[in-house]
Amino acid sequence: MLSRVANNLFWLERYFVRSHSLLNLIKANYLSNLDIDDISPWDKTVLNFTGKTLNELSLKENAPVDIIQLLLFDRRYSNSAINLVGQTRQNTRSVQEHVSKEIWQNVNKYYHFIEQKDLSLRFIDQDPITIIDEMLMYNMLHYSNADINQERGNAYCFMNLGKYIERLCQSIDFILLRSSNSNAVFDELEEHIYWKNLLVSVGGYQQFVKAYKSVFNSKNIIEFIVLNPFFPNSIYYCLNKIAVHSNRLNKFNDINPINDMSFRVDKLDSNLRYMKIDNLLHDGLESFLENLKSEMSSLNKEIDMVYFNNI
Amino acid sequence: MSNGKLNINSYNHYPETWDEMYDDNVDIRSHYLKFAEVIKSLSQDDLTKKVDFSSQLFLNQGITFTVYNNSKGTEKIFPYDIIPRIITAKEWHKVESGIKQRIKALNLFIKDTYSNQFIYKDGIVPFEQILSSNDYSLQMYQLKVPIDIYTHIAGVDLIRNNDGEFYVLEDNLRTPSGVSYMIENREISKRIFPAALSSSRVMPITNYAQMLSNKLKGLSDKNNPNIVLLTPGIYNSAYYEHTTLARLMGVELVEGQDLFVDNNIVFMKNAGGIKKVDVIYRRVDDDFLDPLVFNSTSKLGVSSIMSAYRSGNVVIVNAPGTGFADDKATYTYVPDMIKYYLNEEPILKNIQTHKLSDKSELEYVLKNIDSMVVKKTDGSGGYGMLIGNAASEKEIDDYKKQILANPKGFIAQPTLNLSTAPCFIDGKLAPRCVDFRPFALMGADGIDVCPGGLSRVALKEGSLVVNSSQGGGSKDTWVLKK
Repeated sequence: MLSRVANNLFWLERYFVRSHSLLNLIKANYLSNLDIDDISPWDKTVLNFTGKTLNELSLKENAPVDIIQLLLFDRRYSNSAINLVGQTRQNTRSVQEHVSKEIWQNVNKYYHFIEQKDLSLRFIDQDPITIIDEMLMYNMLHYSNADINQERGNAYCFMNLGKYIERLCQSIDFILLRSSNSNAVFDELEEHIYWKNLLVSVGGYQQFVKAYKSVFNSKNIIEFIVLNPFFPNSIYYCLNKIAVHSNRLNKFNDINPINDMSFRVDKLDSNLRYMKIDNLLHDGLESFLENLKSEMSSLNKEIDMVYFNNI
Repeated sequence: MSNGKLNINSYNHYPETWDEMYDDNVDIRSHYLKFAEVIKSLSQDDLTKKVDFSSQLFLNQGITFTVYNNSKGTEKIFPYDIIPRIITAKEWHKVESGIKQRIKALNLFIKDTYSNQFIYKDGIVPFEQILSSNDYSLQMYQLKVPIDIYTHIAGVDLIRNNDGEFYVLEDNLRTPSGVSYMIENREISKRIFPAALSSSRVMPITNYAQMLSNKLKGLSDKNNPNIVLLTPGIYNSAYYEHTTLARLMGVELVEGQDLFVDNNIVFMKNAGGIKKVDVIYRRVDDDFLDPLVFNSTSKLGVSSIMSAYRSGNVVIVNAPGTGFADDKATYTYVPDMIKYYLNEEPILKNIQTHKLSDKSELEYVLKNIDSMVVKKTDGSGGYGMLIGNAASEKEIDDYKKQILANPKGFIAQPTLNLSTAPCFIDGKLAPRCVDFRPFALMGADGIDVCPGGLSRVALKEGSLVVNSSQGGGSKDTWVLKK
């Protein structure tokens, strides 16, 4: 497989997962807002996706709808949904012969859906969640198509590498988002509502409730998102998948499995396998997450070196 | 929109024009009868739904092309008319054998031009014809190409005049496009007229990609050559076609940046290392193919690819330097080439063409420009031509100035009555002008013409311009079995 194609497949999936996370976050924040009249949870989301604070964007009064409008449709921000979907479509278009027809057609339909001129107007007239749910449907269809129709070869592995790296990064941001909003004072009910919406949005609510019997404290949440081996958005699960797909790619492409990239993935995987939540919290959650972010950044550079250096 | 049945007997036939479906008495031609049975049982609403369905299908599948001079968004759907154009087996036989004959002669002409140049020495074609062409490539002179094939893929544009005969409008021997629309149009016909398609006994075209793949494989002496399709990239107007063909043939779609040449061997840059390339089906024009040989500013091609080609380490399809043979001025000599190389009478006729390099012809054309279509000899895509009877006085005056500045850069043809085919427009059948581009593939085992082609339609009433870049559309072409 061409290095350029591999790179485009990798980023196709990263953009897609990023748009999925953005939509989930918007939904969680919006639903929380309906119960808690406080827009501070938006702060970190907006900063993450636009690089600007709410103050800098002058979004205060009646903010949620304006914030959502900006996060979805404002082309000035590279991580707005409309730009992320556009990037996904551009990447998919350039690798059409490597992905299934169903994947391409779904991404293409998504692009035409979000590019509809009247969508942002409809969004103002209607409940924003209805449109976000319509958009999320394309994301879900994409994952189904990738699972059902995509050949299990190089393309699938590069897509999955991108998917799990982005998912892992987004999970780090989910936790940081909450911890960096710690200056906002929430009561127990608000805390419960917030986490519930967040977990629902990433499909982890039911699993969490089963595992922790509805005890919404930050320790349980963090353990669930960082260390749970069965939750598809947990950091440990994602690392596991990154290891699986990078090992497969080494085999498919005759790459010596003893390389810096594989070493780093396996090391991170081992660290988390034997980690306990109490130790993690004792050593400091934020420093753990920041360190993990820096590891992911190094991993990205190594992936570039190993697979995409021929571009 | 009415719910009534489509009235196929009400048809506004253009005067003195051959219509594909209706004869002069507005009776349905016999080969359209089975299809007519199907559509007359449908209501206008049914057909409108089929139009909407096909538009949605094109959009969802990303079957689009790019218009260069459109400042507002460049990606567009190629308009599709749901009513197929139907060609009888007898008509097809003539078209097929005519195209084979023509491509065979043109390939010999290219070979002769780049080797012994007998046709020039024997005075059949003047030497100036090469000297005046920007598309003649010195790089190709005395170069032995695999199996002596230059024009592996050709698209021959045909029109039907009011005498009912097909005439050749132009030959496309460089990187002819449109074949993916032929394939997709048929896929849509299968969805919207499944019964009519099977009852009419239509020749299948689905194996075009396999035919092409086999021809490309046959060009290499390897058992399993590494074939790639070289595209200028996603912003090219025919990008959809490039991805379709790569996907259907199972070959890698590469851009110039994915290839490099080392020691006269072309390699592709893979995730796991490098891999030698044996055959390149290029959809990049000659000018951009190799910045060291042609346009030095090109970022679309591959440096030193011509050197690898000349060393015989890679096959380039179509061969570079074929452009002078489909030049509109060379076109006038094709009937003579057929007689010279094949000792045969041309099966398909040319349209009467005036070479403006000739003083008396120039004078005649300038006098009668109102009834002429004037084209640049190296033009394509419907750009830069003048249709005398549709142009304003100012446009004619400006164009005349261009002609007089460089007469040999132009040819002129009388304005023809292109045949019409019924299109479903505004809830009824209306005649629109059509042309026809069948695709021929030349390989080690001979020439094959895919039994179908792209019928392009001038969707504007009365217009003769069928090019997609100029507002034209397309329709499926059904070639009937014997």
